Amino acid sequence: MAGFYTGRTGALFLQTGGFTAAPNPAADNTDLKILKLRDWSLETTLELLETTTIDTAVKSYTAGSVSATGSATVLYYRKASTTDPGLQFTSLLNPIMKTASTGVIDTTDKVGIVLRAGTQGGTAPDIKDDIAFNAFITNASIQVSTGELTSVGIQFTVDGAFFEIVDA
Amino acid sequence: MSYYLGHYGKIKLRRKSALSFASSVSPADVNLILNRFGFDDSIENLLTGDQLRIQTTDSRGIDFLPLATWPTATTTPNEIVAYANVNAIGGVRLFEQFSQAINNDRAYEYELEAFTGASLPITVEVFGSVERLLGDVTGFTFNTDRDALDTTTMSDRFKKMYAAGLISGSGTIDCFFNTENSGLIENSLLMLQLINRTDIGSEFSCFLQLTDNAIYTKNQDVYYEFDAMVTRTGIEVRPDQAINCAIDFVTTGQIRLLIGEPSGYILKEDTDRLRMEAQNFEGLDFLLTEVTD
Repeated sequence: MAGFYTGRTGALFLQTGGFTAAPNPAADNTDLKILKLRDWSLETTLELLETTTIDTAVKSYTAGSVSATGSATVLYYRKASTTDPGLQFTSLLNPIMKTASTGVIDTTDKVGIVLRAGTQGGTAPDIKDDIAFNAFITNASIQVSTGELTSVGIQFTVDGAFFEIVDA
Repeated sequence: MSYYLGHYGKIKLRRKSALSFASSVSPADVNLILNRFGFDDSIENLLTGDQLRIQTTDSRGIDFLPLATWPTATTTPNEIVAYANVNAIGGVRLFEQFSQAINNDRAYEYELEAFTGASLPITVEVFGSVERLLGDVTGFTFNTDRDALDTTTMSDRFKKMYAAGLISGSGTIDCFFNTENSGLIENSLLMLQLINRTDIGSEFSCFLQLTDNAIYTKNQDVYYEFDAMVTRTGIEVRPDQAINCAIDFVTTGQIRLLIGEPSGYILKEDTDRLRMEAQNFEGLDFLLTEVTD
């Protein structure tokens, strides 16, 4: 779709246990789609290693490792029935808020995330505006305020390389 | 089809304070000749005509009033409810009725008596039990607002709102400036003074009447009832017009739009006269009424 994009075409898909290959959730995929998503963000950072020596006047670097972190906010909204399509906020809390003393377990609590900015189709069934990766949810907060909608905010850190990035 | 004119609207208000303030009365603060007593912060918080509840935790009770003030009491109580007349330096003279306090009718003032020993710690609050008509009103506006919480999420095509947000109200009362008071109504000067109560706040109970059954006999009274606080007062003085003032307020709690007889009315099935003993109290709020629907 040529033109500008807004949050209207945004989405977040979540796969408990993570992905093993590049996922391709369809535009109308409701099994993995997070309900009542308010926003998401992703920040990718390259760690630079400085190679400047004392005989140079200009700093120089070599590329280090790349890392990415992000966040998302969903409304505290319960489905009318557990069989209704879509994932509610509990899917974001469960990978980090535990009653078990074993804490977070790599294999089961890692999540696969697809961040969708738009629905521009690529080579079917690829969506060009998808960013897919595995991640650990590193922070979850529940905000309950007088006169405001209750919401759940999460922060996550990308594990490994991206499965898919935004295509031209 | 009926249309209603605003000139039968009316405002009734009841003085009140959500907060009380603490002070103390020392033996030297009691003037037996003037029957006035003083305490810190009285001038900053109290207005002539306020119905005060003065309480003490001291075992001597309200010792600067003689025991005869309470006809049935055998020991000095630790609480008095009375109307106050406050002079320019905060001296308080107590009366049984509002009109007596407003008019500073010394024939009805409460006698004071001397006491000795340590100062009496007291707490003072404005205990408004009676609503009175506000005079000189030229108009009022009242707005009820409801927070519209945005529930729009990604993929929505239209903005969505959560309908059960919080309710609040605000409005403006316009009135001519007046200081006269016969003792039956409140005047506009009170509304200008309320905002200056430093410790107990500028709260009051308000009844905004839209229609009057006495005028529009086919319709019941319709009125708003709420507690509010004065947030801004303005006054306009020009040589070619009467001095007028505007009082802005916001509600401090529940807002009710009621239909029927305003509070304070009592309906009787017979024609007997109803008498109420008004010892230290005034008004109908101290009667229990059986409500039928």
